[in-house]
Amino acid sequence: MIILCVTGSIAATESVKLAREFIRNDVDVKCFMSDAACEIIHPNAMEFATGNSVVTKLTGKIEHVKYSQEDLVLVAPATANTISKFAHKIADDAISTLLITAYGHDTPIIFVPSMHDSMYRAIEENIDKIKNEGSAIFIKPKMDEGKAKFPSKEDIVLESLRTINLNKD
Amino acid sequence: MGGTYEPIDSVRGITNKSSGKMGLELAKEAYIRGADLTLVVANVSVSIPSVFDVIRVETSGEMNEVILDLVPDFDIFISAAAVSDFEFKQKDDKKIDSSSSLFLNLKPTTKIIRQIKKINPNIFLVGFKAEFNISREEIIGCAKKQISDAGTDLVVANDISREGCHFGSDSNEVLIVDGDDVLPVLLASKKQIAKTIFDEISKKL
Repeated sequence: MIILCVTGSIAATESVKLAREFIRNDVDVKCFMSDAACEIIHPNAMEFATGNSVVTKLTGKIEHVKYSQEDLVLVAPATANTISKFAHKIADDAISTLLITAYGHDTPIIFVPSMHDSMYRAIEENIDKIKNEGSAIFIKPKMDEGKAKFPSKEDIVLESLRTINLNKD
Repeated sequence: MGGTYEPIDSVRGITNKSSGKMGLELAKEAYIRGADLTLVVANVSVSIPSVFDVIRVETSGEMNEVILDLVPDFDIFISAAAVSDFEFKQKDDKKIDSSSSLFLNLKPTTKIIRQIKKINPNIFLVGFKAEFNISREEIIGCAKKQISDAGTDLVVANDISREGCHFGSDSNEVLIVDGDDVLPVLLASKKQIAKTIFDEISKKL
């Protein structure tokens, strides 16, 4: 199973189809959404797409622990805020807390950054920090129209399945 | 992967109906399994995901050159391209006048697949053999001929006259031939066939 974390970028509108693409590839998906993502798409859409209830906040079920050792944590789209918090191992919401729990368990993590290009440049240092410590993988955004745009769903699925397989060996 | 294009003049040429779909499914499966790969891409009707390293070629001659360069550095070579068997003796760099009949002089191209093992004897070589409307025994015969001519380790053979198996189709029905063993794969998606081919390759590597 992969854990798909949806954060507050307009590319969250792509996450529904992305989840369906994983399901077509016989991969189960559990979705976490940030408050900002819930302002963009309703959790019902992700619940429909994945067939599983969506985690929007942590409860007594300790979701951040329960889902920290699955095959992959995929943050798509990943905002500047989420990436920067992970770079400094800050845990102040469901997704950032899941991320550091997963990292502590050596569960593979993939970020798909999606933001305005000035924001992307501004957090370069944080991205480099993560890359250097090898704590997560980044799927390069398509740089177009002054934005770091969401790559194709096919690229995200291929990279995710490869990461899962390489981690098994 | 895909079909090569041999120019007649600067406007026209001969090519084939290969879509590149089987090659792309093999590429995706290899990538998912963790392989580092390079795609040599001729004329295709599919879009290639940006995760792949791609070398674009047009003619069988260009494809030959690129492949001979790559072969020493790889462990597996899969020949899923439909390479032209003929090229033109003389290429015209203008547009040939169409007011009178035209006779074209073709010569056979270099068989790329026969050179692979000569350059890298340790490479695992997978070939494809597409035939039209012949019996199962004849297809197996063609596959075995490729094994003896080119030293292929595995041949994926099929009859493109069969329902659902034509060039450009999303599905195929193939025979995976390896020496004396023949593994039939009934009509399935090219994605599924790619998985079966890699399962066979992993068993033999």
